[in-house]
Amino acid sequence: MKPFLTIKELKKKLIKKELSIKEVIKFYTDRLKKFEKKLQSTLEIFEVELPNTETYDQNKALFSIPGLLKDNICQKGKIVSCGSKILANYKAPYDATVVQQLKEQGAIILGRANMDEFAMGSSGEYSAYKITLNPWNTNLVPGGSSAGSAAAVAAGLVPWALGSETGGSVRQPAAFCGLVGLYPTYGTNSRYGLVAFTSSTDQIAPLTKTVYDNALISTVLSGNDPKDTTSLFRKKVDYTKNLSKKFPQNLTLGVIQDSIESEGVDDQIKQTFKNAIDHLEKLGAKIKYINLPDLKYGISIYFIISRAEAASNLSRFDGSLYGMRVDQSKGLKEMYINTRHDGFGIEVKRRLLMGNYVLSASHKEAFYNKADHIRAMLRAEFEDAFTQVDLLVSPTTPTLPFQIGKMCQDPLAMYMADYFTVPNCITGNPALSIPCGFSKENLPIGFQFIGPRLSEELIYQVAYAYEQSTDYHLKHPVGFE
Amino acid sequence: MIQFDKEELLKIANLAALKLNEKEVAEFLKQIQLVLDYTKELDQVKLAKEVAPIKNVNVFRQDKAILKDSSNLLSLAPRTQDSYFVVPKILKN
Repeated sequence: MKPFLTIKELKKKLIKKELSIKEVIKFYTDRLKKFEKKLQSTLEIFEVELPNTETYDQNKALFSIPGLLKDNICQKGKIVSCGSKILANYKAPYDATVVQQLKEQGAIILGRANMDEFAMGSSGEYSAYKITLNPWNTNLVPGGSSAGSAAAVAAGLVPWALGSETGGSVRQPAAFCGLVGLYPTYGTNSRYGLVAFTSSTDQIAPLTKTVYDNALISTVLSGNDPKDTTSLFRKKVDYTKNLSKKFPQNLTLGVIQDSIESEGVDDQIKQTFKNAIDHLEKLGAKIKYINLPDLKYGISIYFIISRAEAASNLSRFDGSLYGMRVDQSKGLKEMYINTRHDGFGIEVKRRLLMGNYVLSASHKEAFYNKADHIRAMLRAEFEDAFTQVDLLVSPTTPTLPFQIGKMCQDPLAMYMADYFTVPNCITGNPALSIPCGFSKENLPIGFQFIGPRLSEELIYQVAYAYEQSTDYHLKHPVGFE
Repeated sequence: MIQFDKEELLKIANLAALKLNEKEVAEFLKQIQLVLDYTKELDQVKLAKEVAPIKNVNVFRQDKAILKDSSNLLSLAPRTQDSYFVVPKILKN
């Protein structure tokens, strides 16, 4: 069996009986084990029972297709650690809705992917367990926080993985690893069974090698979930239905001016992004340059809102009801403090402290309330932009994948990795990152389409037509054959 | 620059139920100060008088008790006794 098959190719071969179900499951389990030392992408590889049948069920979208889940998504009876010591032995008492949806469609979950602790980080280095490496160059980070999910798919250890995104945690690692990654319209995918970080922006989303595969998983995850009160009242959407190599007609794309002028953007990324714009123009897109004056405030708004919500969400980890407890404590408060001291890592503590600061009585007005107000202004600015253009485009990340250890001493610099991905998360708009080229060091570069609310169908159509006219998705990192 | 000193840091650490050693105090003071100062760019924004609220709908479930076996939730707790969660004593003898 060859590595780097897409879900689409795998299904075809399974249906034609060129591959057996057992063979497929064993192949990917073996690959995860074989390359774990080299990439450190997983926290656990499951021993999956091989099915008794070889009858292929064509009615199920992901029948016998193996994948990985980021370790903040609950799978009944399995550990869900969130990359944190505080949940080291915590076993999920129920399946997340997305897990139910995947199982209903026949997907096989092979393990738990490594991640930055509680999804706080842009490099994977803040996992309490291990540092995941970038398959394109193992001296570099794969991006984060869905680090293990991205590295494993890029190296062909699984054909798909789920990540979660709060401010860039799917798209940024997708860009760093040469993958397709989505942030769906807020409320599209159920959060039931996803451990909360910033509830007003958290979304689960797929990482895949191609646009078609991504659309296929998104189709499985779509639809209303009564267990998540922020889930939109929508029926299932088949995002794969209208994908065509023919580029959509009369399409206007808005290039975010800031993204090509900003000094903080790497020159190779600027150039590669400009080439992508030229390419899109040749495919028939009308290009407009758009100035979004409040966009630059996205990162500040995010600093405040996300830390505030994290401070509130993570207060539940105190050693009393579940997770780790430091027991040699004199009283209840001391037990909370000792447990959280030993259980949380440095980045989580940094964010909880800031969250408590911006929420405290004397600072709430100056920070939280103001950020919330400007968040609404940014939302209006996006809405206004989408009266002029169909989709916006920008690079996904300002920089190429960076060296392991380089940013850990400089949190502010690390946070800037999310500069282009944060704004649409805080406004709830969907965006898809896809590969648009390589640097001279052969590192993947990604760019993104950002759309109006619920424009995923159009985003997938445009991205698919673009992808099919390029060959970036056909390249793979070496050393994982 | 935002006024952010050791006293304030220790106050919020207590609110966050975290304890900090001297090294952490020094590091966090510097790092959180940098991030807070960065967010001061928001002071330049001319706030719109009115912003459109998000169109939210209230989502209710039926007010109906669902009986479930609590044993699997209790089994996740660090310490239990019968059907109770056990925590350190909070009342004096």
